[in-house]
Amino acid sequence: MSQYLINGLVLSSIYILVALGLTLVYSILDVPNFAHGELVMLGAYIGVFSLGIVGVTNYFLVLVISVLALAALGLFLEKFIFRPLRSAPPATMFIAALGLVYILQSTVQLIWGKEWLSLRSPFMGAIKLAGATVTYTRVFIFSLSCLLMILISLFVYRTWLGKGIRAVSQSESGAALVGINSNRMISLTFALSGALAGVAGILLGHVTFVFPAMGFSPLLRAFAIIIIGGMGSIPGAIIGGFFIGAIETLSVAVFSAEYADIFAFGALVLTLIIRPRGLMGKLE
Amino acid sequence: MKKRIVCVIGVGLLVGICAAFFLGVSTAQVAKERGKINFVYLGPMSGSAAAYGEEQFAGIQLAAKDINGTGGIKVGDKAYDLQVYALDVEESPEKSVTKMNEAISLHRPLAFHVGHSMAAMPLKQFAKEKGFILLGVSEVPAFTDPRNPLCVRAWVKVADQGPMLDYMRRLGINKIGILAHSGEVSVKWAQVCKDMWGKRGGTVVGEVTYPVESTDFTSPVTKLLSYNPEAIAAGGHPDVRAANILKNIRELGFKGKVFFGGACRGPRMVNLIGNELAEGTILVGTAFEKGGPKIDAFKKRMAGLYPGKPYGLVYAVAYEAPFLLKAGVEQAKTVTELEKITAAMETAVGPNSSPTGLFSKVVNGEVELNLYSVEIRNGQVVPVQ
Repeated sequence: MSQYLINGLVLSSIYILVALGLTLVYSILDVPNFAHGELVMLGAYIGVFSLGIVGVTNYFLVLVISVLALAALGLFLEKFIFRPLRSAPPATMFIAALGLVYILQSTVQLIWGKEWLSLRSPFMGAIKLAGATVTYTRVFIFSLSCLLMILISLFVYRTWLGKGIRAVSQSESGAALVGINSNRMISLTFALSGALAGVAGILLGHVTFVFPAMGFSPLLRAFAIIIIGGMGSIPGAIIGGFFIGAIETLSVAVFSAEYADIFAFGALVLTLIIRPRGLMGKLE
Repeated sequence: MKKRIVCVIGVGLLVGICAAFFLGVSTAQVAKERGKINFVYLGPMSGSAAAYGEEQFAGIQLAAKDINGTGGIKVGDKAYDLQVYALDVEESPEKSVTKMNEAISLHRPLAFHVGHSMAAMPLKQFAKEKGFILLGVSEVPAFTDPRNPLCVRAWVKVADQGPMLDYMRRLGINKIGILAHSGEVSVKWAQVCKDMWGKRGGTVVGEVTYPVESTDFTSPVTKLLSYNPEAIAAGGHPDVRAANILKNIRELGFKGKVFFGGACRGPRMVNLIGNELAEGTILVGTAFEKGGPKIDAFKKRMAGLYPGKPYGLVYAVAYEAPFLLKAGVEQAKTVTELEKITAAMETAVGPNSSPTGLFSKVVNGEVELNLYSVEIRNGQVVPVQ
């Protein structure tokens, strides 16, 4: 049983990072960014590319490159695609995000080709933990994800920039009245979201392989997580993520892997029936 | 002087235009004499299996080039060029039907070559009605049972496990665990494996099935390992998925043998997870892995044409498919009587008609491949005793 729980915790931690990026943008735009999965995918590809250049001994440099690249891409997408559409109906932004999905996937395929790639981890070996075998890579994935969850939470709830983001998410005009530059806060949110996607992409690339359509599955999971946790809620995304991960892996342990999705999405539906806003509601 | 130059240029242009016209007419006449047979590939040109689609279509294109370069397909006094087209169906059965209709309206193909079971199975029911031959890269038994005389399996079958299971028994393996995804090919493969292993005196200690769209296999593999198998058998997994499964298996500390069925060929797996993790993996071997004069020459040619690409049996089988059609058409001496063409394949196909030696027999609508047990050793797929 401990093996299943540890499996679930590690995978959930990556999905939570994806969900955090998604929920940050949703909290500020009120529209889910369907291209977020593609940002995760791009993070993985940039990881493969930069690993090839700097080598696995400079792994942390690879993480930094991916973070910076995806943060920059997030800024670019906000400024040139999402900002001009902010005054348009929400469906327009939704369609633009969908269009981005195809553009990004096709661009990646053109640049890196159709073959799947591997993102080798610098951590070799495994340890025994409560009867379970865990590779050092997965220990690193879980540790880094938890660290980022803590840092993001501290940033949003304990810094003045975070306060600014929360103010704009509550009311853009109200924030402007107290002197907060909402465009700057929204740009910062997109940069943060991109950075989280960059890290999530690299960590996911260690668990699976890197291919153009890899962003879809984590995006689906991330949506389930933020719906259960509450759209726009960071603590909700964290709790929701571990909740879904635990349900999925325990259903494999007790029943069969074929039932994992039934139980996970069944929990989603049940949560929505009992508490439609999700476990912790919108970002305040 | 100026007038003279202009006149010369004008006459030169006129002569040139007339020459081009007559050359074009005569070329068209020659081209008119050589007919056209349309051959459409339906497979994943985008999405997660795009690499396979690219490999398969590349094989088909080379075959068309080679066939046309040696006079085309001959029926009596007339020769036909093979014209090939590719349409993207990703891994969607619905798209395969849509694209089938599109191809029929645009190209009226004599034959379709479909890249996987998800495209092949929906098209089987349309072959007679819409009038085409269907060459399928499909392991699923239902592709040829019940028999459709216009459908020919051009790939391994789920039953192609015998030599590999014999090898595992010779290694002293008794207890195996079976891992399958929820897709038809994997479920059928698992059923056949269980049956064949039981007939060889072995025991299946556990069987785990997971959703076909999964990308992480840690939990299903954990469950399978809880049954303490000595070896693991898994079918219906192409290289990339098999690589991920094998990685999870080794990460969880399992050191026993792993056998992957027909869809897993080896090169991509080694590229993805490296020699060490792939070492000792048992695969379904064919004449491609065993070697021989024709196939070795073809492999050398492939390596020259596609340096660095992990192309292998998938490419070679796709290359063979147009030659299969050529043999059937030439033996049947018709391009319109489809059932006559597929029936003719059973006698026409032999070692001489097969350019690589892979497709040397067709029996009851299936290509019979010679099977060998192979293992990955030092990053290479090699035959084993």
